[in-house]
Amino acid sequence: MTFNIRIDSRTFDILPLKPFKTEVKRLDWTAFGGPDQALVSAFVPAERLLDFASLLRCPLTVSDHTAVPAWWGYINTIIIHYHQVKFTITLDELFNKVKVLYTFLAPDSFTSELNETAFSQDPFSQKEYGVKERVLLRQGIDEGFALALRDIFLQRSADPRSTLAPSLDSPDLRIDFHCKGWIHTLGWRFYQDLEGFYANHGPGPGQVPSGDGINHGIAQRIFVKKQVNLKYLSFMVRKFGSPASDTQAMVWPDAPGPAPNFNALVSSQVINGSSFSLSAYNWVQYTFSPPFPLSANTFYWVGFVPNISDANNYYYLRIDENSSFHPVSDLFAMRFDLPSYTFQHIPNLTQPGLNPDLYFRALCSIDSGLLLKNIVTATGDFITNINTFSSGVPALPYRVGGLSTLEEINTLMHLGTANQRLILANVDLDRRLTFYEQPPEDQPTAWMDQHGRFYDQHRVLLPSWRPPIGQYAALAGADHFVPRFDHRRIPAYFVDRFTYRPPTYG
Amino acid sequence: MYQIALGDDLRGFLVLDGVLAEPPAFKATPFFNFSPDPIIQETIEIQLKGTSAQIHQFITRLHQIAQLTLDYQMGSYQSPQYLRFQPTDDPVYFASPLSQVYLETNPAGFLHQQTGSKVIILHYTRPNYFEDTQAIELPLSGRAGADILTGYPWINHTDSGFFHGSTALIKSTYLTTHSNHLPAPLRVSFARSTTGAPTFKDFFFGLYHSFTYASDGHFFYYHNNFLGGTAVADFGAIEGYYKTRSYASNDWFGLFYFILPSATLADLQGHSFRYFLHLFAPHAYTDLYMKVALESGGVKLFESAPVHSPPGVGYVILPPIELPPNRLLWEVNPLDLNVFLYTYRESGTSVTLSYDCVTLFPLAPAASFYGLHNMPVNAVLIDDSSRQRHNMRLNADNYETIAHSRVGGPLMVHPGQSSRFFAYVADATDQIPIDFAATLRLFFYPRRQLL
Repeated sequence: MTFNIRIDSRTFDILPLKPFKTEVKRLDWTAFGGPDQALVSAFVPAERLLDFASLLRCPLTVSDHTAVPAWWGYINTIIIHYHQVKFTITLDELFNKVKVLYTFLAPDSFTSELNETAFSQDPFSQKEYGVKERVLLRQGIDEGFALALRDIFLQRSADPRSTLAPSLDSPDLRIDFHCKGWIHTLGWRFYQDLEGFYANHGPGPGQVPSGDGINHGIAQRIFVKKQVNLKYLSFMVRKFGSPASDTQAMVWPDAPGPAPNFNALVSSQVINGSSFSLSAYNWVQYTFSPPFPLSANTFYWVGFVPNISDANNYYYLRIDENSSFHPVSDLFAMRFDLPSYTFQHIPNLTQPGLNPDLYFRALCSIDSGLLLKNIVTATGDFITNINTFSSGVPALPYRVGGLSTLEEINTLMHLGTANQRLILANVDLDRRLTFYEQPPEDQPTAWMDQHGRFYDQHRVLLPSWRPPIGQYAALAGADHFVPRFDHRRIPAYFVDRFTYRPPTYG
Repeated sequence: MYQIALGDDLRGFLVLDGVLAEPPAFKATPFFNFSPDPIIQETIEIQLKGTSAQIHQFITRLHQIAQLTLDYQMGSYQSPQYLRFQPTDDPVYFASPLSQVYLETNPAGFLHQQTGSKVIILHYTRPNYFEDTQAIELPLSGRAGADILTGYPWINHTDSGFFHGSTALIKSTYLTTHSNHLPAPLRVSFARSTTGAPTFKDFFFGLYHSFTYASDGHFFYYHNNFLGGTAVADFGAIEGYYKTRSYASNDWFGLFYFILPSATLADLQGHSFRYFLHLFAPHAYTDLYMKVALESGGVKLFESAPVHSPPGVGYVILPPIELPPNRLLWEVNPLDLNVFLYTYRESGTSVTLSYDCVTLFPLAPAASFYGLHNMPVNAVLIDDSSRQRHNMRLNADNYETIAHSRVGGPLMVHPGQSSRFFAYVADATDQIPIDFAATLRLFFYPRRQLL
């Protein structure tokens, strides 16, 4: 089989290369991104060998004998075999945007909180190869050390790393291009999103009664930057006396209305307060089913409301008189005054004049299909377009796990859809990323005959370099098999990965 | 040997030896490789005598044939290249499709060409048989009559009604004529004759071979055979009745069973079948499973894997059962068997099922055809197990297209045994309408290993 190799410039323009002989050694595809890895060898005269060292990160396309592209991606590593020497140059250790996450030693010799430096960047390297981030994690260092570490690391890694080594390989003059699919560039950057999880854990002293005949509900003001769906609201609550009232979490618009529920937008499920602890504050979680949509760039009040007020049997909620939740903003807690049916500030006993915050957690979700799009849009420098779909599965948009975009989307793809199927992805030749749902298992769309060859549904033989990736395949040449009824006895095979090694001659 | 030739019907045959051989073809000597292997490598020595130009032209043609074998494998040429033998002056040819063809000559061959002779050794790989190049139509017998050629009237069920037969028998005598020594591939021509709107979509074919049993009664079971359920008369049911049964259970439930008597099992000879259940009315349950069990004297001898019975589907094909199960000595008749159908609904809520026929559908060989689009009136499904290709023709003579995904091995008939051909057709809504009708023709390609 003769393949055609095309290499373009890093800026995706045509690169006029002199003709050279190539041999495709291996092509890989995956259902989670399409073209995955490839190994292509080139054979050129000795005097031209080093010309090829400059092709790192250039797009490479493998087409079959009919000029139809079969595999595409970028050159990640180049190995030049020059007689008994092997020269390797690779993007693996290249990083041109670096920061350090560190803990420092407190005066009492214990490690203190986690700090981070700003990113340091190498614009030239980024322009040549694209942005490739690295976050270094260190313990027990101070800021000066962290900054120095960041800068020296950037200095040493902003250019491609090379190695030179003696080789016992064949004495051919050859160049090996180790290529990766464009999906791998999503592993070059880290993804972080602070939206979708709003919480205040203090620290700060304070408590406020609720349902005691004076204070009805207690609410916290929040600001939502992106559209999300509120799924859980939690507060730190204990009971006083023996309250038996039902409690709920509610969401109000920025200007709550009059009693009795102050024009709540939505109420959570009910939890009877008799189950709360008398002696300790515990987190009590309320669920909104279905999750309630919160609009982007909008203030809301979220709070706790009992349905009965009783001066002897009521609840206490933990408040934070240090006002740790956005201290300089207008996000704070308030109370619904029962005698006057008005919205009142909560007095601050330890720091008068400062509006306390509630101890609270608001956990939001969005459809994982939309989240996939958000993640790739934010960091996918080489992806030209993203197509996604509604998976029906809610996922938390709040992402601070220190994971790369590729790791984040892999997690979400394996979270699957509401139909209990995986989310698959493909990057096409024009670097358009499409997320789609795994097909149903009981309807195979590819067939394998007794000679190991794949066919499509129309009995068209699929060349080995066009495998039915992301499809279910079943045996076609077996008498004892009836697909519709045998998908539990003889399950169809899901083609999640395929490697093609062209036969070698001579 | 009357003639030896290479090539195909599209571009013609190049005669190597015998009648109609033209210079420089002088003599051809095949060196057969006798082996139990299904694929064998052989050579044929071709002696050429003629002018240098004639020899060049002949060798060019041999190279073209080698290239066409590659083109056929790549899908860019329509026919395999055959090595064809004509044993006598009768127009009966036996041929074997070739692959991996290459030429060799003796080391000093280039010296002799100018003097008008050359020896070419043709290397090739072929399946370990020779096959008649023309398919021979087989007379079919069954509920519609005996020894019918050019179109057997098939209908989508079998019962005691006049002409109601979904199977057709190929008598063993027709499979031993035509010098057929080996199991031979079948060619099926299945032409829809039902007019109007109904859609033919999925097809299920199977073949049952037997030296002794040539009837069809052992394969079909009806309301009067089913133990379990209440019989309801209905003209739309197979055999005029269906059975219905309701229950609620959190466990597998024995819906009904029928008895396979000793004499029947003796005839079935340990063959494998699929329990093909025809539902009188499809159910609507999304969580219903079925399995089949073989019991004797209250002891369960075999239990199949469960299958999902999809809602809205008018039939269920259960996993294979061997009748009788396991390996017997066959010195006396086997013991009677009860064939149970068990059902299970995950939710445990009530189930009502109505059913009118169970077919023991043979599965070795068998083939299922899953329709990509529906078969219109007068269209013909062609399945050629020799060429291992299948298609649909929109009418008998024209407009060929691929229309199905085929699952199953080649359909083969065996010399010395009768073969009963089974067929069922499902429509686009996954029902098996019992009044669907078609015209069935079966052909076979006689095979032999020794010429």
